[in-house]
Amino acid sequence: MIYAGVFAFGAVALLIEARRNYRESLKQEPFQRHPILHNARVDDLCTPRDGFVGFIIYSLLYLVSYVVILSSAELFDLIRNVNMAKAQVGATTSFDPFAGDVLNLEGTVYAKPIFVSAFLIAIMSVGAMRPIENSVRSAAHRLAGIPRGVYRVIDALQTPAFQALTSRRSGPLLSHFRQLMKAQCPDQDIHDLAGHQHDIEVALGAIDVLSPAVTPHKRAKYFPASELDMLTEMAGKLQIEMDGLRSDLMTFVPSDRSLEDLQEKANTAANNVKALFAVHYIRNNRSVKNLDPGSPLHRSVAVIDRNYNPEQNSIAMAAFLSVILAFFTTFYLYYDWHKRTVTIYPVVATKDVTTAATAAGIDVTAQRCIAVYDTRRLRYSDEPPPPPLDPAVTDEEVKSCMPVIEAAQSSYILSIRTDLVREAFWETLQGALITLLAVTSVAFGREVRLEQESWKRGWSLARMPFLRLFGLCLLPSILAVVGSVGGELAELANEAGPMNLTSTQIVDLFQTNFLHFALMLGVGFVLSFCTLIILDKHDDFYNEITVLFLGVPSALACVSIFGLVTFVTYTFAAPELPDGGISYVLRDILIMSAVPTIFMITFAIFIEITEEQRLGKDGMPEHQWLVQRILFGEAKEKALP
Amino acid sequence: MKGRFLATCCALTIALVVQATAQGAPRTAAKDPKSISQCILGNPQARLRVGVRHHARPFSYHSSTLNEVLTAATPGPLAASNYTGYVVKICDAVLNEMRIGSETMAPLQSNDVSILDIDCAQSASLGEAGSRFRFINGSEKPLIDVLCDPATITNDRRTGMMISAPIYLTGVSYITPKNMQRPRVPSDDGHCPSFLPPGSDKIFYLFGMVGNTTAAGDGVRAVLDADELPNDRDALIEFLKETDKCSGAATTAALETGIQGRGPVRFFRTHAEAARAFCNQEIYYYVGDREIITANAASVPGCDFDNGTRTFTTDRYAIFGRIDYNEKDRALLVARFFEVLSQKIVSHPSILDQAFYDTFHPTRPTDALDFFFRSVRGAP
Repeated sequence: MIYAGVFAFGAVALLIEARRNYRESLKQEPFQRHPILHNARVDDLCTPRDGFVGFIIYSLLYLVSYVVILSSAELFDLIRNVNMAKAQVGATTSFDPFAGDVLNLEGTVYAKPIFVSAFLIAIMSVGAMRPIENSVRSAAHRLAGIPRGVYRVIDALQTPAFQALTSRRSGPLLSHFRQLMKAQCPDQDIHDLAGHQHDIEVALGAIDVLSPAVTPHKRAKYFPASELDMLTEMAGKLQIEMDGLRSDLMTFVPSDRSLEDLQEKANTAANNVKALFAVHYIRNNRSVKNLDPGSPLHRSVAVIDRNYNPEQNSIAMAAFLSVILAFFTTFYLYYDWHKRTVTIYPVVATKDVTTAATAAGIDVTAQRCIAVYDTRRLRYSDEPPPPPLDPAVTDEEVKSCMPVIEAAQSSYILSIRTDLVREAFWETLQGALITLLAVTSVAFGREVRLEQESWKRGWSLARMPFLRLFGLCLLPSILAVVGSVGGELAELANEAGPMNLTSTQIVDLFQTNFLHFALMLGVGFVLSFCTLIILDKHDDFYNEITVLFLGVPSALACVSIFGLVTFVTYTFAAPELPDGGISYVLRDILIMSAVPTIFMITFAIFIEITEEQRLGKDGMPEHQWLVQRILFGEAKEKALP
Repeated sequence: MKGRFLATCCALTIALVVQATAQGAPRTAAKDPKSISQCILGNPQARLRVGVRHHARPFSYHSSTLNEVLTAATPGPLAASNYTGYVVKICDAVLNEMRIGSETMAPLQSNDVSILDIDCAQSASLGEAGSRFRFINGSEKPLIDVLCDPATITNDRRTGMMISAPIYLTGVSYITPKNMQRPRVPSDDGHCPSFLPPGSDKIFYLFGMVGNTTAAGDGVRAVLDADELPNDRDALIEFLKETDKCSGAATTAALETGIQGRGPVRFFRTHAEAARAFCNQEIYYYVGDREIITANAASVPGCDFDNGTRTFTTDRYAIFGRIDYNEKDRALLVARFFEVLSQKIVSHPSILDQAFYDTFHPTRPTDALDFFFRSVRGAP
């Protein structure tokens, strides 16, 4: 009870620190690249509710770290005590003479929560840990919807697809500019040697399409959920800037100098429009309301939506499918093993043959059928040969026993079916925890770094940035260990019954499986490394190539690493069945690697299926399936809207 | 000066006795005993009769080699008879000091002390039934005055006896064979004895413990209360209910071979037997006082085990004595024994530290035992 109080005290201290850090982060000005968003602080761009949700998530991440570190410390203490006790004699009763001294908190049990809490506060304040703290905060912001994804939307508005869209549809500013240029400079190539005119057209096209949605009068129509004071103020500023640009255009006289000035103004205005639009779009739950179908704005939103990466969905779908398929695979492997075993296992037969013989009511005794079974059954290689059958038993009697024996075998298989389902569930759960923790964390880490613009995906397989990939795979590898431990603990807790897990059982679990858990570091590394390669490189290949040369090798790597795990940890003589089927060790390798293996293949497939069609150099979509390309040649299909 | 001379003489005498006994007199009293008289070393009517154990390692046991017996301390009458162990060393130190005598009491002579090997006596004429305390406090004529074995202080044992201050702190624990999965018996899931491996004639019990010890009842209950073995909870409850529904072939075979057991539990007469059965994988959980089960299992060559690192009860060992006021000389000697014992416990260095060092070195005491020693002697 007192320990719970100290634990709560440590948690509250952490929450206070988390709140201080978080409030500081809200005062930052995150959008320095776009003039209109200067001086816009994070808390200006989100509602109090969003800020609160962000804080809850941020503090939860603190608390999760607190719980994980504290339980690891307690676990370490438990295991250390047991190991020390091996070299000690006497009672092992926990003996703390100061435990009752609550006011002074001198008992050793009280120290850990306070220490862990202080450690976390201290470590998060160190400069070297700032990137991690930033990542955690960024994660909280993302999850709370606080506009950290603005850059991604702005990037989508700078793609060739968006430019193609805006250049084909002339809005008022672009039309005016083109007419002006056509009237005054029929030989426009002379003036556009420096590319000014093209740049101005691109900028004006973007302004024409996006600005109606963010001007003070209309933005409430498109973005009803983003009524923030700061956004209103920004929209006002943008309106003034637009008015200035418009009046400049009215009085525009083309010359090299004026084109250069106009280009600068148009670009600044376009960037501001895009930035403000992006903020509105994010604040409006990544949507624009009341769009007219077929309007340029509608198609722009389609471009942004299409730019929304398919990676998260692919991971989710692959995870879902792999867990289901792995469950059935595991169940089948167990079922098949036991079905083969039942032809050998003597004790089961003794019991079930007796029951089946009684149920059949045939005129041979159960003992006689057991003797027949024992003579006929397959035997392990180290078993003695079967005893000779009593010569008094006739062939008819032997024949009449066969249905009884088959019924007994079926009855045994039916009776253990529930156990097999349960076992398959726990195996799948552990595989799923390992895979999902490793994969989602590495994908999330990559997302954060992409958003911070510190991740380049354009590397080549020939010159793999191993260190960068390795660095990102470290945490997921550790999380795979946590997942494995969590899965085993959950199974143990379930076996022990609710709240009945004893410290000896936990210690025994760790002592027995220590090597297995440690090797999960390697499994986590393989999983996260392969995931990163598929995420970064799938764009470079045709779909089949991605699946065959990235997905399948990744799956094989998973099987291999589990093969290594069994090779190292299976120190006992695994039972082999004499029927030539898959061995015990291979069965376990397949069971352990079921989820990650299926995940890797399905992930590679889904990420290619869900991906948007790529545009060629000419801005037209190109085939992504090699088969399609071989059959139909270079594609010039329908253009993007 | 006179005292030092006497002590030197005593030491020389004892050394000669040790030498003589090591060469000549039969020391294997526990082997095929015919009667209790064969379990008594010395004069049965000696002034002070001490009870020791043959198989209660590491507290009170008979050693076939002097390596485990002789230490830096002067050997006493118990060491001279190859008895040793933590409790025996304490008793021996007290008996040695009694040989010096005091101003008001004559020194104890060599033939004033007799030794009863309790394990030998248990199997001699009284069979398996009854507690070893009947030798000191039974309805029959008592055979010992001081009991030097790992005896736990309980409320039942406080009447009619003299109890020393606690001398050791331990508890019930269990060990399991290393690298062996708990065997699953599909037919009854360990509630009854079975043949393991199937088809063999090796009778397997899930639990093994020495009968008539604290472990048998309270120990099982403590393990059960801690919910330490949830898979075997039902089997343990059946055992505690004292209902034995087993009637299979293995049960019949066990009865025929004279194995004592009830439900999933097999009882042994001595820890040596239990340890041998454990190391032969005839039992899976070997339950008993922590040091006793680990020391006995470790004494079997090649016997590796897991667990045994946690105690589920807290038991205090003490030395028990009996004062019969009708026999004044004997009563005085017993009183003198406990007088010297109490002096040697609280003096510095304490006899507890010396006995612990001699018995368990280089193993360290657990925190609880260390604090217990500090509390008993009242100094760090």
